[in-house]
Order: sequence, then structure tokens, then C-alpha cells
Amino acid sequence: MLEARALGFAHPEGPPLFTDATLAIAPGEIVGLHGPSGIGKSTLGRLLSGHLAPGWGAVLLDGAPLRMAGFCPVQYLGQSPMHMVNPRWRVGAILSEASAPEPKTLAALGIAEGWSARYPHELSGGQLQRVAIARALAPGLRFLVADEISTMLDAITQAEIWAFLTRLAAERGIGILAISHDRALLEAVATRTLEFREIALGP
Amino acid sequence: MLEITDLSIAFRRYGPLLTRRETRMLGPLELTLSRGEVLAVVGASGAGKSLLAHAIFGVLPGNAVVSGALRLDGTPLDAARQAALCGRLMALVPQSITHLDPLVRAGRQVGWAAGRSGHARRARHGLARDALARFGLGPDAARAYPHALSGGMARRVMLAMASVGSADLIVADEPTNGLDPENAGRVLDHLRSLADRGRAVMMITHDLTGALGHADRVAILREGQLVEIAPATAFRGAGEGLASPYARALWQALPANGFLVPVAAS
Repeated sequence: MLEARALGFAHPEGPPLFTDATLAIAPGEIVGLHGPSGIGKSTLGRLLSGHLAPGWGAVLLDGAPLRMAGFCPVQYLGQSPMHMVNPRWRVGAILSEASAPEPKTLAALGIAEGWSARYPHELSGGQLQRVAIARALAPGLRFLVADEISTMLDAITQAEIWAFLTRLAAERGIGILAISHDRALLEAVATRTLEFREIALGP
Repeated sequence: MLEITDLSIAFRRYGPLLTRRETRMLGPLELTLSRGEVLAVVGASGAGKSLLAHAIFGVLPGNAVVSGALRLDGTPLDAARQAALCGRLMALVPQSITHLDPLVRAGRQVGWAAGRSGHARRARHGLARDALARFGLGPDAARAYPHALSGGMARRVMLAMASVGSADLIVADEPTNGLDPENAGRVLDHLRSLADRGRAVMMITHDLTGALGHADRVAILREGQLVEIAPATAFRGAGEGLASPYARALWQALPANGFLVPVAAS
């Protein structure tokens, strides 16, 4: 179980984005998170995956605080994969950053062997997003935060990626927080959808 | 207004032992665009959408080999005419926000665009202000340098630059990337209204849903090939009105239409 308990965050010298975000995701569950842009959805996602330290409250994995050293069992996937990888690393190095990826995973995501020698800018956005997903699927992975991961992709690539993630949730029991402003997408992939305002800003 | 016949684009590359190879990236394709019309060009990344836009404006890289004919209002659109008309009779909204000058305030850049399209010096400031306001940008954004703008704001500055003059042909490359739904809707509405006032608009996008609400026709590109040009109204139901399997697959892959993964791709 991944939990956010009364989480709050403020940028230095800025007003708090939110002060009381509470949610829980069970293993194997796909939870949607919907809300207008600029409200703090991505910040909440980055808090849950250890990219940011909370100003208030706590992120708990199975009741214990999130481990901040080594491979984080909660992985964050962003809208622009180009910003999530080192542009000077080859794809092969990116893929095995945490652990060597399983051939089965690479095949399921349609990642060709020939990509290993390429640099990130030599792949399309959809191809690089699949590389970012494969990198996150190390053995220790428990939860994924998928923050607008298919906004910049065409409809077919989007459907392929979500078909893969839905299978991943069912087969490996990975819990997924799907952040999007696209209600139709969340209705198609999520078992339940939360409104950011309701879970983070209180009544 | 714009007629494209038999257009194809290849890139010349040097292989081993100074052998020269040409790799075809786009075409051959035929396309027309009329005044008062919004044509959406939809396809996955790498399908050649931006190449098409850059070919119309003559801003392809030096190793591009272009063949075929472009005509604007019946007159051939050659390199000299492209250079003369760019920013006057036709305007491009580029995809990358790095096309803004990093050392010049946003409002001034829109003023330049107004000047380029023939407006008097004293009118430029007011025109720039009004153009920015149409895209929801106020005096703060006008005073900002590009680095201080968010991606979505920079994109709206470029839209203001393209529409501040009296260009009859506007080509917008991914105009809604990085915009939240509210601002994306505002941009698409504005492009629609430009067409409704008699201009011709080509909207290049990967977002089929957004395009359908605002375009008259949709051209589907796949790996450099023009798969189909369908009226926007053909995208409904299970896609029976669409001629090509790829266009149908794209339609059925939308979350609201079944979210289907094409058999060949899965």
C-alpha cells in the first residue's frame, strides 16, 4: 500500500501548493488523478516517488517511510521522456540504469535491440517513453506514478502503452497512479479516479 | 489557395566510401487547402508532418531534396517567392519554442512580426498588445524574455506573431503541445476563427480529438505517406466512414472509442 498522509508542499518563499493531500493506492490498482493544470498534480506525483521531500506530512510504503537510497520502489514517469533521461547516455545504458531489463519486457514494449547504441534524440517521443517505462520496471518496483505519460503521443501509441501498463498492474501487482487531464483516458484505464481538489485541498 | 502536387522530400546522406544515398522521408503526396478551411494533418511522431510544413515555407535543412510542385493562388511557390511571402502572405507557427529570439522581449518580437507584414511602425506596439491579449497574454508576458515564459506561453507568443499580420495562409505545427485543455481550446478556437474570416489554416497535430472539433478535413500521415484525407465528420461510430485501416485504427484507439490496440501492432 502506497499512502500519502496529510502531505503538503511549498516552493521556497512561495505559498503552499497544497497542505493536506491524502490518498492510498493498493498493489495492482490503477488510480486516476484528475485536475486542472498548475494545481500541483505533478508535485504530488513527485512527492510520492521521492523526487521531492514533503514540507508537511509523510509518504508511506506499507506503513514505513519511503526509502530514499538506492532504487526507489515508487518510480515516476513524466510527460516528456526527453527530460527524464540523460541526453549523453546511450539507450542501452539508460535501460540498465537500475538493473538489466528482461528480454520479455523489452519485447512486450516493442523495444528493438538496435536502439541500444542510439542516443535519446535519435528515438521518437513514443519510443523513448517506452524506454523510460522499461527502465522503471526493475525487480524492486512496487508502484508507478504515470504523469501525463501519453499526452504527447498519437492515439495508437497511447493505447499500446496503456495496454501494457494495465497488464503489468494485473500480472505483477504494480499499483499505478495515472495523472491526466483527459477524463476519457482515465475512465478507460483507472479503476477509480480522484479529483485533486477533493483529496488535496480539503472541503 | 495552396496546391501541393507530387511533393516528395528526401534527405541526402553520405555513406561509406563517399557514396551518396537519398532516403525518402515524405511523399509523394497531393494536397489542397482553400481559404476558409482548417485542414488538420495528423500522424504519429516521425510521420513527416513537420517536413510538410517546412517544405511549404522553404525552411528545410540544406541536405533536403524536394521534388514536386507547390502553388499558391495559382502561381508556383519557388524559393524566391517563399522568402518574399514568408511572414507576409503566409505564416508558420513553428513547433519548437527555440524559434523565439532569446534576447528580445516577447512583445517586441510580436511587433517585429507586425512590421514584417507591412504595418506602420507606430501601430506595431498596439497590434502586438492586442495579438497577445487574444491568446490570454497580458503586459507581464509582453515584457518577459522567452526564457521566463512557460512552454505554453511561448507557444501562444508564436501564435500571436503568426496572426498579427494579414497572412492568408497559416500553418501551425503542434499548436497545442504543452497547453492545458482550457488554453488548447482557446488556441484551436482562434485558428478556427481565422479560417472563418477567410484565411486558410493548416494545423499539424498528433491530437486527433482536438483536431476533429475544429477542422473541416483531416489528412492522415503515416511514415511519410498520405494515408487518407477524410472530412472531420467521417470520424464517428466505429469509423465506417473512413477508407483506410490505419485511419480507422487511429480513431478506435482513442480512449472514448474503445481504446483498441491494432492487432498488427500488439
